[in-house]
Amino acid sequence: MSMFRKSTAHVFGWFMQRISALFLVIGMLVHFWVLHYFIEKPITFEKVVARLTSPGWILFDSLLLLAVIYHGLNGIWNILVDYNPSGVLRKTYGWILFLIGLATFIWGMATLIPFTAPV
Amino acid sequence: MKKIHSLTELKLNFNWGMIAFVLHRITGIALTVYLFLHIYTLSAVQEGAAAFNHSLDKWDNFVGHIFEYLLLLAVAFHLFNGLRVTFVDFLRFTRQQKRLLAWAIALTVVVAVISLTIFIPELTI
Repeated sequence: MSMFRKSTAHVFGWFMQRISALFLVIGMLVHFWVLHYFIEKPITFEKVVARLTSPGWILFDSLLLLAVIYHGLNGIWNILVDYNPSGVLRKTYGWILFLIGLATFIWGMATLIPFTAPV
Repeated sequence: MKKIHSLTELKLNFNWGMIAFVLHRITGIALTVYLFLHIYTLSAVQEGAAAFNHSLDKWDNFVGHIFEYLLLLAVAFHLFNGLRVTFVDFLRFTRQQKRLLAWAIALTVVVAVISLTIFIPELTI
């Protein structure tokens, strides 16, 4: 049973890596287009605020942040697992990456919010 | 059994798929590291608008734009090769994987060349 659970967990990771990848393909193209073509250079605080008054863009940026953190850290996880670590080490890696991901998401959102409600 | 160094192995049994595999990992790690740098640069906004503008301004120089170009190359390769991997996995394109790799490399080169026309004028800053 435990082996079954482990193997399905890995399939879920494999599947989600591709789903997040497909979202990132669209998301990165939009991100590049907006910040290199749509907004006239140089990018300033005021220009970012003007875009982030829209709830749609706030949602887009939040989802992009979430997807890129998941995809990047899950990718690191895949590389680490390829070196066939022991069960304990595997768990340790998983928790460290999860905590890094959580902290990065909070850090990213704390960076996004000042643009949406400037003082 | 004698341990064969991976570089020796690559020389004895060369294939582009292995190069793509290694490049996908290297660009993947580099882009994840860049994510932290990216948030760090933008997080200057927590100290106000002026601090944010100053933080972005620090990258508006020769080294910054070279770095930006390398970033684009890494994203382009990782994106096109990642699409190849996804096509092979989801759409059973296993038999076409070599041709897809040629496409991924070709599209990366196209992006690299086109973006040069944008980056070279900026380099003179």
